[in-house]
Amino acid sequence: MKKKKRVVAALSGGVDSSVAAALLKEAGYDVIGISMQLYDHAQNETTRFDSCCSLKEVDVARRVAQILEIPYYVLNFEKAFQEKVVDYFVKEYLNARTPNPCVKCNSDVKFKALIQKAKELGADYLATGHYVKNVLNAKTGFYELHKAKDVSKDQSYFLFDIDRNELPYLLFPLGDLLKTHVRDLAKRFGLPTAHKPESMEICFIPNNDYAAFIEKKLSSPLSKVAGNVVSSDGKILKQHRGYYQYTVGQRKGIGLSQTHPLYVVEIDPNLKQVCVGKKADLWMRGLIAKDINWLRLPETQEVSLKIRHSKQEWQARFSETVSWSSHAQPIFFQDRVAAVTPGQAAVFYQDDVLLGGGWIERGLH
Amino acid sequence: MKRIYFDYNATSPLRPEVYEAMSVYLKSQFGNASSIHEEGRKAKEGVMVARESLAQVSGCDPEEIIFTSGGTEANNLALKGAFEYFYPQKKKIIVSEIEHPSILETCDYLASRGATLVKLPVTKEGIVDATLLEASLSDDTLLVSVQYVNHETGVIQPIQDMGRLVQSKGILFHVDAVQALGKLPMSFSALPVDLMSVSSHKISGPKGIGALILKQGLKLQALVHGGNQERKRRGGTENVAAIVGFGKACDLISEMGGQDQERIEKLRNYFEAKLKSQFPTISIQGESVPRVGNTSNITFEDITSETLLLNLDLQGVSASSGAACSSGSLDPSPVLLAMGLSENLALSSVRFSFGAATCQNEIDVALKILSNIVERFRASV
Repeated sequence: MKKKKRVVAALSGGVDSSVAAALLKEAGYDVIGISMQLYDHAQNETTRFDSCCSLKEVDVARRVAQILEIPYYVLNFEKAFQEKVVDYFVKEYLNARTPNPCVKCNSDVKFKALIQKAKELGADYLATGHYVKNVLNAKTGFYELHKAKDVSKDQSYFLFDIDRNELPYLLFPLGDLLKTHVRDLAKRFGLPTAHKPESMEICFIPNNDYAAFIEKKLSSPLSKVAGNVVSSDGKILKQHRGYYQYTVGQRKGIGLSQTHPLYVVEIDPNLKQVCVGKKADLWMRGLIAKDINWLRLPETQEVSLKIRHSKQEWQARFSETVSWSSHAQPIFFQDRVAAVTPGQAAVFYQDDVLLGGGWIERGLH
Repeated sequence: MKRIYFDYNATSPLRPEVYEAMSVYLKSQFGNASSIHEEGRKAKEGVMVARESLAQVSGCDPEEIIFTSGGTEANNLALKGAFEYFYPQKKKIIVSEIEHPSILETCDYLASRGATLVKLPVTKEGIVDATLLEASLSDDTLLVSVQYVNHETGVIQPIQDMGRLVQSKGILFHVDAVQALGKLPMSFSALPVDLMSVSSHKISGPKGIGALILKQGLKLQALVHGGNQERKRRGGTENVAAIVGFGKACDLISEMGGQDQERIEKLRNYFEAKLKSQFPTISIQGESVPRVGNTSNITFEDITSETLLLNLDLQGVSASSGAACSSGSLDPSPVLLAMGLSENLALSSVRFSFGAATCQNEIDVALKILSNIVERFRASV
């Protein structure tokens, strides 16, 4: 008898990961369910809230594993998560940048620490409920990530930073499915997650209030982060309580009434100064991406570029031919683009193929 | 897959004889032991016979037994009951650092209610340092609580010496004997002990039942009010079937008279000798001091207990490590940390605990599985 291939299925307690695990079980894999304990909400917060990875979610994931009749473990990754995700998140805001913790969680925790655990358990694969395709390119002999069939659910943007050497170990059973179909499958499998609403919040931020979270983490008094909101010509317009409450490109919540709409155009963490201006001040001709991770090299210098998680893509061009060792690159838009946010990810595609991405250092005027 | 269960210190499988004895009280003898009628009398009889069985195996008088919901409640009753009865005249409580959480967390709670708390350290072999005990005793000391046998290492504590010292000062001595009952011959009446906790499911009885044994004449504040059961010391309708099962499990221990413990100890020693010859770098916690014969706590150094335990589980072998926290993850064992192990070593220690169903074949199969896991892991790093 041929030995079944063993898969560790990451279970978050949501509909997607539970259907992914169910599909693998049905396909005849030896499936092990694992939930990652990432953040001890009880220790940090007293308010009750539900999001990914809270104890209640673990209970749901455990119930799913019971229904699928697979072994199930909760493993603690709090230390890695604190260092790689939470500390990074706070530090980036204090550097006046807008972090993307989900990307970091994928590259530094899920597809690093968890994959290591999966290998220690003798697993052939790690599977998650991400909407993305892992495709073997017959020409190159390498695996590459492609956008999901369900374009509105595609999560490739969050996966640009994973190590391409790990791709052969990854399974994404939902890459070829529509979300509506996934919900139907959850019902067919009798999973308690079938009607669960989407969670869109950052899992470790209570009540979606990231500013309050950062304030709790601040070692220095709040006066150290308070400063002025100024206009482009340096005029002080008002005081603010903390520059980390602002994001470049933000329009709502600035609290100033002017004849024309005002946008945050720049934040200076040293001066603790938030500079506001007109939309035109936000238009950028390009950006500098740093710490670039490549999953596949582009065939030409022309790529599609995402600068946040949305369907919106911009035609752009590298100023030179890139290679595996290109880790910091300027890249120029075909047309000017507004609101290039430092700290967010710039992710490169050609058609449906995820090439890689980097972290936005700054926009180029 | 046939499972190999090496986690008897966590809980043990119900003996068929116990199940049979209980089933009578679950099916036909349903009475309330406090009722005056026939059904009540039958239930009462079950409770009384079981009380005698427990008294027999633990060497106490049947009247000294208060049935509780288990070892945790017995420990809570001992500490809180004594504290509430004697506070504020006396307020110091002395325990060891390696007690079960049902002692340590209860002590922390009592500290928040005004108790002063002393936690005695242990030697690197895991024995409570009795020399420090004497210095800690004072006029306001209410109670000293030390376990008979440690749950993680199986190390036997010098409760005779400590008990004599404590009692000579007129201080109460409580012993958590949950891991000792059935593994060591014991006689409550011969021990210098005032209160002793025991539990049923560690000796192949049902879960949800245990007892606090309380020296004749000693008074405590009750925790559970509402009824005359257990001579007003623990209210609530008796869990008759569970009490009967507990009693039957005690009878089985009395009948075997320690024979099975000798058999298990030989298997444990064989297991450890084989492991040491295969993996010379392992260490066995508490190896050089008196231990009960069923427990083996092995430190592997280079492999985390989590990796070992999960792989063992996936291949049908059940073992354990330090206390599992609320989220199911493994924290380093406070017992091993108290013995001076580094966090890393504590996180690479696995407890194997054997029992009635353990046989030579199981040990051999488990040894093979274990060495495959260790070798595969060492080859991969």
